Amino acid sequence: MTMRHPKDSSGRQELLPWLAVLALFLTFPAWLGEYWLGSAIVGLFYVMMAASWNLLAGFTGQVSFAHAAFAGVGAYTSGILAVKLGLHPLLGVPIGVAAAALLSLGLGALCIRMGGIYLSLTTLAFSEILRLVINNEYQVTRGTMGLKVPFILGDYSKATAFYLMLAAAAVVLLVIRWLLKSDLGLMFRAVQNDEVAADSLGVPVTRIRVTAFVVSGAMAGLAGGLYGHYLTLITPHIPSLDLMFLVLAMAVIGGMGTFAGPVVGALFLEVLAEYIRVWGEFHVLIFSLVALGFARFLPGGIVGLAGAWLARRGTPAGKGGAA
Amino acid sequence: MSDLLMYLTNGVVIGIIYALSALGVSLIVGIMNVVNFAHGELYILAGYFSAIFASALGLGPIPAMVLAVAAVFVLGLLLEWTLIRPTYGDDMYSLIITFILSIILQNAYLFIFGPYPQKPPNWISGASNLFGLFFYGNQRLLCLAVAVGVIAGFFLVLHKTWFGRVVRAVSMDREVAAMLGVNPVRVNLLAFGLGCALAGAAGVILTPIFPVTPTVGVGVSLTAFVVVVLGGMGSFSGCVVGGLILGLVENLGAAYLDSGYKHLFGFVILIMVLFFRPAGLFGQKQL
Amino acid sequence: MNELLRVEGISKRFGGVQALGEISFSLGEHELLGLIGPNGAGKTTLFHLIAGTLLPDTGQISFAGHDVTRLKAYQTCRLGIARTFQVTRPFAKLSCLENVEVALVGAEAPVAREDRGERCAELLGLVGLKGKERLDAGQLNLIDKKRLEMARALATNPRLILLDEVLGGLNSLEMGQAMDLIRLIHQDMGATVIWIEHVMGAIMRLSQRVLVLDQGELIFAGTPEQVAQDRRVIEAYLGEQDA
Repeated sequence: MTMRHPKDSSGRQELLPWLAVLALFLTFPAWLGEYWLGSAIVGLFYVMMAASWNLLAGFTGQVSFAHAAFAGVGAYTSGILAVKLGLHPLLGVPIGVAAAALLSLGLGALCIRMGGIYLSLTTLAFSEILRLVINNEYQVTRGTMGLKVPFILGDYSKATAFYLMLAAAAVVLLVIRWLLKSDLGLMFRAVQNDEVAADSLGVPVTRIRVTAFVVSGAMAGLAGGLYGHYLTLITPHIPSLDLMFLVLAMAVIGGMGTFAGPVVGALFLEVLAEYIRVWGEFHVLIFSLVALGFARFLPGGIVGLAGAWLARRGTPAGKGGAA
Repeated sequence: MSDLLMYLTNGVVIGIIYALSALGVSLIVGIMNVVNFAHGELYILAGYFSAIFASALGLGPIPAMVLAVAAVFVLGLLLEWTLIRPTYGDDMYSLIITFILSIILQNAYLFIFGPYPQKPPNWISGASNLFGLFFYGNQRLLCLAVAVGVIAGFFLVLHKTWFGRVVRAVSMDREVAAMLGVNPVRVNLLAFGLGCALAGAAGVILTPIFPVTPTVGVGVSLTAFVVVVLGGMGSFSGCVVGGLILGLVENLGAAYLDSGYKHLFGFVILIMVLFFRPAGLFGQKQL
Repeated sequence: MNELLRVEGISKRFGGVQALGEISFSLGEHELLGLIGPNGAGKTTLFHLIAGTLLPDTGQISFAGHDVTRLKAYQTCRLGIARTFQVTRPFAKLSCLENVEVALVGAEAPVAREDRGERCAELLGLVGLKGKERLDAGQLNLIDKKRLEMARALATNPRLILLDEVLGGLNSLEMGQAMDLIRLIHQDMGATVIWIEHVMGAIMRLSQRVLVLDQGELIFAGTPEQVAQDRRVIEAYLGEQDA
């Protein structure tokens, strides 16, 4: 008898659609064209961002507004090391990840014991601090002009960047998957459901929450570092609240608290963004209205809708995954 | 010497407005355990309204302000009814929804009001000689007086009315609400509306001095949050003290340390409070 | 009888209200202690303080030779104090099986993965939730939620178990089952029990000793027979009859 939920028992079978998607993505550089390959890279960046934010918000119930900021920490750390010390991005990015993890640890240890609201407030403040520092330390960060950094690996090639991003996204998703199936994942969900009860059963609530925050922050650092070295220009847009909002909207629209939701949401919004780019500034307004509609009326997101539709047709929810 | 006094005066004026704005956040947190991330956007909205009512309708400054605050109050009631009420008991969704709302409002303002700063006409011109040492704008002094008046009114309501008693009891301990036989839905509605109206009041008072643009709301919200954490969640007198402290620290810090980092001082305070006294200066909540 | 729990002068204020004032008592190993008192007497607050969900303003609590006064709930749980909640707190979106599994994972030395299935099933069977293992806990009715809390608490291998109104809302048949379970926990499993209950008949029948709280004060301690005859206790309860 398997221990876990019936939804999870079909482990191998569930992997098939993911492998199919991965196989499809692997063929992209061959036929997609330069422009859309660029979009696919951005899309993968958002997949990592939304999935790791969802690990925190959707599975431990903590809303962080510093996720974009941690991506910025990853990007700027690695970028500055490359510019000032000539460090290779493949060494700089891991250092950026460590910096993001360390900062999340400090921030988490500081405010998580005080409860969820404090985390949201403090992370919002952190993101603003970072913006101020980047703008003020112009000599180091080049402020709003952006910091010119070397390409991630060898000569500039979108295919290289794409494969690296794809590998990183796959690793991030696998780690999240593994975490959710582990004892830690069970404790994440227990803490989200009822922290007082979890506490009374021996679950160290604060430590579990900080752990989720650090893992999630480190993943954002990785995504940001790779993204920065793909763009070769790191601007304050990466750690901005605008980008934070996009990540949040992707998770909400895709379906928070499901494994597939943020992936679906990120790719969906990135493709949609390409089509409504001509509307300029409006697209953020449209995204935010759609996100509000989902948050208010369809908290299960697209994945929740799809799951309900499949359930009505009597087939097991394939994509719902570790919901 | 006169420089120092001027910085202090500036600090007090700004600090009192911070306090006013923070009272709105504190009211909603205390009663509903909801942080309104669209707080700053409502502040801005009231600023825009006061400018438009004054210019388009030709109203005097006072009627324009009152009307602007009333409009934001009604909007607050509507927001509570349509968006916040369905999230009762799920703090995470209320955070997400108010955050999305703030983004919607920012972008809507950009579309409706344009990216350029807007302000209503000053209520008063000229300057007065303070302490025989320096001249200080009459507009700022009047702002201070009005803000003090609104805060005094708020505390009067808090201590003299049924609603105020309920608010004080519930902010101290949520379970008291049930004991007092309070209808929580109605109290929540009123608290959210009033919280928004306080943001609006701060907005209309400060807009003549600091014109509004679509994106300054983030800073306004953050300042209010810092004040609330500094004063202690759910403590109203803490908001007043916290607001004054922040106003003074920012102005003195900018004058004597580094003006580029003026707004960083608030966050430094936030971090220090969380480190040394996480419940805030007047907080009751224990770890 | 060995002393397992000692409570010395603990008190707790909420804002201006004295919820609990300077309570002291001690509890022997394998004792079954009944805790009664009118609504708002501070019974649940006492549980919160012992379990570490809240910290006391004054006083000291020691358990099995450890000072547990300032410990958090997860730490007291790992030392062997388990509890149920008056207003049930299931992990609503987790299955019953997973609800119990959380307790096995939360232990100082988590139970090995391959042994958990059996252990969870056994505990759920014990409390009468056989066949509902895979239901989400949020779908259970009130009685089953209370049963689930008992199973979760037992999964932590407690030396002391704090039961907060496990009979409320049960019919007489279910009440009988629940009392059998309490007897089982106390006598066969050898746990020490503190039991808050409003159903007098039940608590008088099973308890070896009864404490009576009224308005945050300990007004009486004695055997069930003594309690039933004490004037202060009767008055405290008569006051509540109208409520």
